[in-house]
Amino acid sequence: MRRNPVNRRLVILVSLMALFCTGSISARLAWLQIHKHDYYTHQALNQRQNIRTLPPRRGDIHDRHGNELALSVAAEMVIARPHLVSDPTGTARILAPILSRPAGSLEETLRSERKYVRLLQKATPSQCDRIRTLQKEGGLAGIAFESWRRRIYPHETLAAHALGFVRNDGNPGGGLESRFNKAIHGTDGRAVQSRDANKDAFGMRVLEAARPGHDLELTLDLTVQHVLEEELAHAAGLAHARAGSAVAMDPATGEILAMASWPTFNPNDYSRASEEARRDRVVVSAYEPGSTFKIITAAAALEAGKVRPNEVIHCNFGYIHITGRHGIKDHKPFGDLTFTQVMAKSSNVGAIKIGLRLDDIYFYDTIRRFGFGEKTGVRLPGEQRGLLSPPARWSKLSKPSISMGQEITVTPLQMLAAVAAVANDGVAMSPWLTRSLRDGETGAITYNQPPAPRRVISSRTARTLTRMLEEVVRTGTGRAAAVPGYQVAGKTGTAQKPDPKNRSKGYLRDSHIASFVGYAPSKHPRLAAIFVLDEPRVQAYHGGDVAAPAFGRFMARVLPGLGAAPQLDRNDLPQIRVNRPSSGGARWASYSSSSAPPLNYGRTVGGVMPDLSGRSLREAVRVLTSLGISPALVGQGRVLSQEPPAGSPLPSMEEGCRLWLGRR
Amino acid sequence: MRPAELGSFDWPLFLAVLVTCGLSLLTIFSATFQNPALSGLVARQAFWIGVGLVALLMMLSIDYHTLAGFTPVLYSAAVLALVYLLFFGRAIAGTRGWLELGSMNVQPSEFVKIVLILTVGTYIAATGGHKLGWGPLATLMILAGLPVALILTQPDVGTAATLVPVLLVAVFVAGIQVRVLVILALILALALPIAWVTYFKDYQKERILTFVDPERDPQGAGYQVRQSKIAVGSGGLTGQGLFKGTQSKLQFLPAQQTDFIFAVVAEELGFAGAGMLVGLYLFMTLRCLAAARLARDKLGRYLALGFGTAFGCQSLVNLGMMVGLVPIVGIPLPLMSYGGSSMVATLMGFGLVLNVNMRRFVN
Repeated sequence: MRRNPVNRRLVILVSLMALFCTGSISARLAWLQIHKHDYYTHQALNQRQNIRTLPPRRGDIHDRHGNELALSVAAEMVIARPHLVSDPTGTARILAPILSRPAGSLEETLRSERKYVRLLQKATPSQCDRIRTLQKEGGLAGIAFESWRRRIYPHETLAAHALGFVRNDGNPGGGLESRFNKAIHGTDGRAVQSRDANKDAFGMRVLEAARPGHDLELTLDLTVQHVLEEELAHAAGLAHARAGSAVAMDPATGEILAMASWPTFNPNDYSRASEEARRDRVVVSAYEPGSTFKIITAAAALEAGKVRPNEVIHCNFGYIHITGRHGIKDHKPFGDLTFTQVMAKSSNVGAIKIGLRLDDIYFYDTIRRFGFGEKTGVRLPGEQRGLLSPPARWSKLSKPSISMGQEITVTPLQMLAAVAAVANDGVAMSPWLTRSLRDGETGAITYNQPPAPRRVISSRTARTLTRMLEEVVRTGTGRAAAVPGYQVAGKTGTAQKPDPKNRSKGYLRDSHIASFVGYAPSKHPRLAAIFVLDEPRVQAYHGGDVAAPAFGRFMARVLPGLGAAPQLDRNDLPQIRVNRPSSGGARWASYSSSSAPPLNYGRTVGGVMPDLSGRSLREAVRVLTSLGISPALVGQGRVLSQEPPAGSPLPSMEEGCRLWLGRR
Repeated sequence: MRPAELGSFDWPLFLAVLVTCGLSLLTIFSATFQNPALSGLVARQAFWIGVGLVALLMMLSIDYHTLAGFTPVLYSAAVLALVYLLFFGRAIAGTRGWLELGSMNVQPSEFVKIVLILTVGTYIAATGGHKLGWGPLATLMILAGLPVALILTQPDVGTAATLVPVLLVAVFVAGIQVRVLVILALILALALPIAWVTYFKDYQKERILTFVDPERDPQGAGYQVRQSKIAVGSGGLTGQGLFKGTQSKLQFLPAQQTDFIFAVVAEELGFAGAGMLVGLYLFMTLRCLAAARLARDKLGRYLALGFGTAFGCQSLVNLGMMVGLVPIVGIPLPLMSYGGSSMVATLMGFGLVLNVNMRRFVN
């Protein structure tokens, strides 16, 4: 047999090629499997496992009495895994009426290439039950449920602006929910989640458990908040206003009991709320205050001794010449007025004349001391500081303008805080909104310490100014703010809105901001409040016409509930004359109620009578007993008033003390 | 069959083929036991291995010279079957290459490979000792080109490509005039760019481009290469354990009972198992080539060399795909991948080689 050498060489050549190729493959195999083993193992792990964050339980937000304003509840969402849906058309037809979605778009979703689709995030229990029933009968493959925690606001629009909202994805959208998100949210946990190529999860290993968020307790009072919102909405409606805002705070402590903006929104349905409705005007909208600012001008002039309440001011015939061609018109020719009357009738010329008596720097410093031109520090997002130029940048017109509340912008909260300082015997308490954080895990409570009180004007000036402001309500522009049984101090304001097209000096003829700021009962103020209405569109658009009545109604409704006994009755009680502590911090930290921390007393009061109003009998007796006092009780229920009053030196054992109790 | 012939039967090759078939059953079971929809595959594959072994014995028992006598009939039947498919074939995965026989789908193109080897072998054996000139070459081209063209129109580029080595080897076994070879090479060099533009589908181009640059498309064509590499790489030296491969069990690995079956072995048995399997394929290929070297005549030499080359090329291309050396083309691993037609045809081919080897001594 003859062997063909060519073919033999060919066979050897092919064999060698096979050897070479096999060698390359083996080498490559070794490279992948041995040298790069760790790399590919890591890749494989990455592919089938991912680190998942475990959402913690979000803390609740409640008011000062423990009423829940925001809470998180377990909820379910309906999801689909389109690749597991065997019959998209049928499934869509059955699901469409349950989910109230058109079957067409649903079917399109179920036919998509995606492995995971959310069909309905906010599924109601009845929707879930209906789907589950159908699934028990063996239908709806590829449809599943996933649990999540839904944020709900049981009181709907109540305090919406202060609270803010939480989006469906768990991220906060404004308000305290945003500002305190870190604390309320808690700490995310971490877990390793294994998934197969179809993204079906099949195992989870917790690396680090989630830590629940803190519960936030606010200074807000549900009842007061409710009344404030009602009165604001009512007033805004009556006045056909574009917008409005109102705040109420305890001048003695700076605690904000209620704050509201109008128009408002429902945080449960945040996506339907307009930008306008979400605006927290209390801290975000700075405006030219107008006549309410005359309180500050008066405070500065009284404090500097440049004027006395009964001094007669010549208010001309309704015009004051400032410089060159510039002059300022009054709304009326007033002729001669006492300073008290200047305030009561809100004469611009009078206020300007007083303002012009002040030294620039002194005036400016006083304004700053009242807190204008800087944030109040209330810890709400987006707070504005307002515009206030330093004297170096003032024109000849600046001081007269500022004297009557122009050329300066303030937020409603700034204005209220300043007036509350007058109410609190000249001591400013920074407004605050958040009382405490309660650790969701340990239950430990951290109290927010409000900034220290600062004296702004002397006690004497404050009392003088209060008498003048009482006159405003008794006989002046603020008569509509009067509350039967209580003496009210306050000031109206009606400011022309600056022309947005001509920022330098122009004002719109018929766009106003009407406001009223005041406090009651004026001798021992329990509450200070401000109502601001933006662009009232009625014939009587003045602060005294649209804002003062709202203030009056509000105070009439809430004061009795806050334990402020009508002042006229108090005169009949035997008074014990006491000297107030010279520190001037007369009643600071004395607003208190059932959920106030009793621990504060020893530190903040030290030897003076605590304020027991609003407290339950049990609590009041416990506090007094710990101070070595046994009280005499009149009536039953919560403490309405007390003798000696809060802030007086502690009575001796023999003197004792007396509590008047009643139901709210 | 005479005792003397049985004495020269290539037992090691036959054993290697049997071991590979067993490994195929084990790996298909591993790749499918989790999925109820695929639970019948192991039994089916076992059935086809049985059919294939019977076919192997038949191919073995008839002298290959006798078989060569049937080539005109076989060839005509094959071409007719391919033409029939063009009109009545059952399309699976976009390829009109399947014949429905009762509950089974048969892929005739796999058998065409064996028929073509026989046909080409018979033809070049008849050319005698002459080198191929233009005339005989053209005949050869038409003979082989007809089934290839028919398979390409299905369109099944993968299977058609596996026929190319058969033809190439035939040309070299017969011998070719240098002048003809050079001109052919030039024509090929011109034809490739034209084919790229006119014939290749976008997804095929994409595969090749993706091979050059895997980051082109990590979720599409690149996904398979990536998944294959991850499965192979995570196998390590000794593997994750039989039936315990995470990438295959979690369905990350595509087509794991067919084209990507080697990656399952590599993942579960590691370099130890995968290396041995590569060795097994080299061994089987080399045994075929050895049979060619020892064959007593041109026909036997070509039959063994033709099948050995086809088998070796297809195996190496598939293995190359698995380790990322070759672009992903739809070519299964013979003897391992699930698929009855491929299994039976491959076992028939080994029957042919064993036949040639057994009858290497002229009596």
